Parts: sequence; structure tokens; C-alpha cells
Amino acid sequence: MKWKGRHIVTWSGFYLLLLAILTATAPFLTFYGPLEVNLDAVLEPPSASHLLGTDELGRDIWSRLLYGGRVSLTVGFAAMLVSLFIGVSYGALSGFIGGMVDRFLMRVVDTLLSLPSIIVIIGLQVFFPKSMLTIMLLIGLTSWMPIARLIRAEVLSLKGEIFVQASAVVGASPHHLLLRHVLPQTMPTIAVMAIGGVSHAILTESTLSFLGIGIPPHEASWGNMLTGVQTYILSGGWWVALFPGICITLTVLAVTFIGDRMQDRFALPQLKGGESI
Amino acid sequence: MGRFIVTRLSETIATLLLGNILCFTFLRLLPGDPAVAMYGEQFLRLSEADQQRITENLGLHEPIYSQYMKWLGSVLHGDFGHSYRTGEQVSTIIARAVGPTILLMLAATLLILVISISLGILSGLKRHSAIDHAITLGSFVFMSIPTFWFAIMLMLVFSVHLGILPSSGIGKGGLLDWLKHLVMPATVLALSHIGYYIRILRNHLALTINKDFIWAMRVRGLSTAAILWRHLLPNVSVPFLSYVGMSFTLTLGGSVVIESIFSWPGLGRLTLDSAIGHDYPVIMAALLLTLSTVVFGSFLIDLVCAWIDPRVRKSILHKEVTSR
Repeated sequence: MKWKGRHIVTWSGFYLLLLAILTATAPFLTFYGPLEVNLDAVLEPPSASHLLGTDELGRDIWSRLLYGGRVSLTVGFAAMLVSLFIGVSYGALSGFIGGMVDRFLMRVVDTLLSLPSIIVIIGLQVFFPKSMLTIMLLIGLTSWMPIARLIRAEVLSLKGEIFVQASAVVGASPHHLLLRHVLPQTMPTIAVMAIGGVSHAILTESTLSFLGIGIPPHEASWGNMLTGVQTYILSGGWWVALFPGICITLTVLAVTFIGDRMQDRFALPQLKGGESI
Repeated sequence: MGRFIVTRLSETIATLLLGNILCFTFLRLLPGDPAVAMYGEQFLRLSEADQQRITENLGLHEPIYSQYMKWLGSVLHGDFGHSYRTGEQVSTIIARAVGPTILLMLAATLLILVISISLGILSGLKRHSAIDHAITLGSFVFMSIPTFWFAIMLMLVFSVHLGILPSSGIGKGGLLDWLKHLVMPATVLALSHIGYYIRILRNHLALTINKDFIWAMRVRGLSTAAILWRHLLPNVSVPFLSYVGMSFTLTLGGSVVIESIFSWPGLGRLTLDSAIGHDYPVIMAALLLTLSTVVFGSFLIDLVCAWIDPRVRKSILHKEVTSR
């Protein structure tokens, strides 16, 4: 992305900043509450009173977009933190301990990677109450494996580096070696995986909410604004489906552009391509 | 090569075993009594003794490991039990759903390979040209669109406004009708995954094209076509193929969503419905089938990679040695 690359990244950053400001100041920018039902104004097309139209319960779509953005962004960020935490600890331990333990732990990762995460989440979600917290946890719990794999590979090779060996020779504890010498070296990888994690989490949240097993319907999110939307588009209500989808796409796209640029900057060839989550 | 096959095969079997133990334990731990799922709410209104008798008949009173051993035993004999919801043989239900899914996956994979190989090569050979930027931008956009929304938008255009493609189901009469039903689901499935394939191919091509041995050939006056077919593509095919193997799970996961939206009577939709209805025998069979397909698929792809590139053979055999 040399071509206009910098511009695209700037625009992406600008868009995300704008989005953050808009969602944070949502109460000042909307005339209707996100949950305000108005059965006299059901499925109204975009107009002066309802900027982006209304949905099947007469709720204002502009307002729901802004409040829903809060949910989607929060879930995206929090789920990324969960998966980063599990992935980095698991991968670092596996690589650092090595031997049979490492082999076993990596077999587990291989196995988990072979199961479609959406099905695993659908299975797991019955354990938990339906809430935003659940969704963050579940997305985090099902997306840490690629991070663990990469971190493990880096830790394995870093373990043999002279500066780590030297520190071990003068008596540094394994704990000290891992936290002070090995892990800081993996920071670029962690940063790039974190960015990939955010877009994965936003997309997964929207898919789950769309299927009706994500964010509960009483809270607006970009995903659950699209639940059951097939019925309304069949009767011509395109605006119900169009705007939330555009928001998701643009946000994920902006995050992806920034991640791609970071990858180039840190020159991480092993990440090049699609080995994100 | 022999040692390579043995090593990879034992890993494959270990993964399979571990996977189905995990699935089984996890599914049995779920709340929601399978007996209730089978007989509905009226099960709770039965007398204590009747409830117990039914639970024992289903084998649900035994400890979980013996339930698993029993289940594994019958699975190895091809018996997956009966569906809790419909009482039908699980193998019959699965067999019915496999066909449509294979069809969808084949169509999508074909689209993915044709489009991504041609665009990836084009993009990699003409790096930093306008066409490369357009392809790059396009692949990023398709990576970012939520699959389900993309499906809905296509439906809006082709089924609602233009009315030329059916929005749900699988065709019944004739080849044309059947193709019409297949076009949208397969396109959505393919396009939502295509970005990664194009990026992989492009980036590896871009890395390889600047290697000294390629320059040496240029200097000797070999044509671009000859270099591409004889030297660049074999080098790039290994990372590309191993990504194809790895991402098979993603495509299968994507088919869950797509099959639900387009009411495609396949495995993905079956799994989703069964998971929501707590139909354990069906979920287990479907998951096991998915797991085996993915694991064996990546085993086969590794074999092909090892056959193409001797370095792959070495890297797997000496994983422990070299990585230290």
C-alpha cells in the first residue's frame, strides 16, 4: 500500500476518531432515544424528521446507529483484549516451556482451530446470560489461537538468542527472562494481532447479533439492527438494512488499513497476507 | 517422505481424538436437559420414576467418560444414534445435508481459486500499478464486509429489485433453476473470503520476484511467462496451498451464516438449528464430520506441499531441532 497509503491511513484514523466522538456525544446529536418505539412512524423512509428513516418499531435509525456504535466498538475492543491476554500468555508459556508440554498445547490449538468459531460460540453461549459481557468473553475465548501460535513461534526463537542466554547464565529467573527479555521483543506482533483482533471482533459481534444470539435486542448494536432485516427489504425498506452495514464495513475497513500499515512499518513478513484471525 | 507421512498422520489422528473428546465433553456440560429437548416440556410433568426410566434408557445417567466410550464405539460402527428432536437416524439427517453443502463449498472454492489466482498473479506481477491498487483496495473491502450483510444486499438487488435470482432454497427442476439458486450463496461465500487469498498470493509473489535467482534468469533473457510458470508459481504455491488448507474452517464457518440466510438445506444450517435446539447427537455428528474434513484436508494439503517442496518435509521433521 505505498500508493496513497499514507492518505488512506490518515483517513482511516480520522474516520475512527470521528466515530468515537459521534458515539460519545450521541445524546446531543439525536432527537429520539435509541429504544424509543413509535408505532405511528413504522418503517418510514429517510426524511427531515428521521434523518435515516425508522425501523419496524418506529425507532430512529440515526440514533440507533450512534448508540449501537458504542456497543460495537466497546465489544470490538474488549474482546480483542480478552483474546490477546489468553493468546499471549498461552503462546508464551508454550514456547518458553517447550518439550512435551509445548507439543500438547500446540495440538490443542490445532484442534480448536479446526472447529468453526461461530458454531463453538453458538454452543458456548447457552452457558452464560445474554449480555454484552458474554459476547466479549465468547469472542475473546474463540479467537486467541492464531495469536498463541505466532507468539509461541517468536518465543521459541527468541529463547535461543544470545542476550536471553546471557541473562540466564548470570542467574535471571525464568519469570524475569520471559517478562523482561522475551515478551517485550514480541510487541510488534502483539500490536498487529491486536488490530486484527478488533476487526474480527466487530465482524463476529455483528454476525452473532444478526443471528439473534449476540447483543440482546433491548440494546442497540450494529449487528442486531440487522436482525430479521430480510423481511423488511422484501417490502422495500432498504434503509433499515443499508446504514448499519455501511457502518460496520467502513469501521472494519479503517481498522484493517491501519493494521496493514503497521505490518509494513514493523516489517513482519510472516504476518503478511491473511494470517490474521 | 515416508517419515514425513507417518509424523503428520500421527499428528492428524491425535488432533481428531482430542477434538472429539473436547466436543463431547463440552456439549454434555451444556445446560438444558437432553431428555427435555427430546420429549419437550411434558417430560417435566412426568412422574419421578418415569423421568428416571427415560434418562436411563438414553444412557444419560452414566458417568460422562463411559457415555463417551459408548458413543465412540457406536460411531466407529457408523451409528450416530437418533436425533433428539425428530427421532430420525442421525446418519440419515447428516447424509441429506452433506450434498448441498458439498455443492456450495465446491462452487465457492472453484470461484475463490479462479478469481484469486488470476487477480493475485496480476496484482503481484504489476506491483504498485493502478490495477494492483484497485485489486488491493477491492480485497480489503471484501475482507471488511460482514458476510450476512453482503448476502442481504445482493438479495435486495437481485431478488427484490431485479427479480432475476431466487432468494432462498435449493433448485428443484432443471439445471438452470438449480444454478440460479446456487449463484448467490456461492458468490457471497467466495467473495467474503477471497481477499485473504489474493493478499497471500500477491505478497508472496512480490517477495519471490525480487530474489536473486529470478533476477539471474531475467539477465539470461528468459521470458516473463517462462519465469512465472516454471519458477515463480511453484515457489508461491506452497504458502498459498497451506493457506487454502488453513482457511477451510473459515469457509465452513461462513457457510453456517450463508446457509441460514439463503435457507440452503446444508450442514451449516443443520448445525446451527441443532445447536439452538440442543440436539446433541446431530451436533456431535456434524462437528465430527467438520473436524475430520478439516483435519484430513490439511493433512492432504501438507502432503502436496511436501511433495512440491522438500524444505517443507524437513521443517516438519526437524521442527523441534531447528526451532531451538
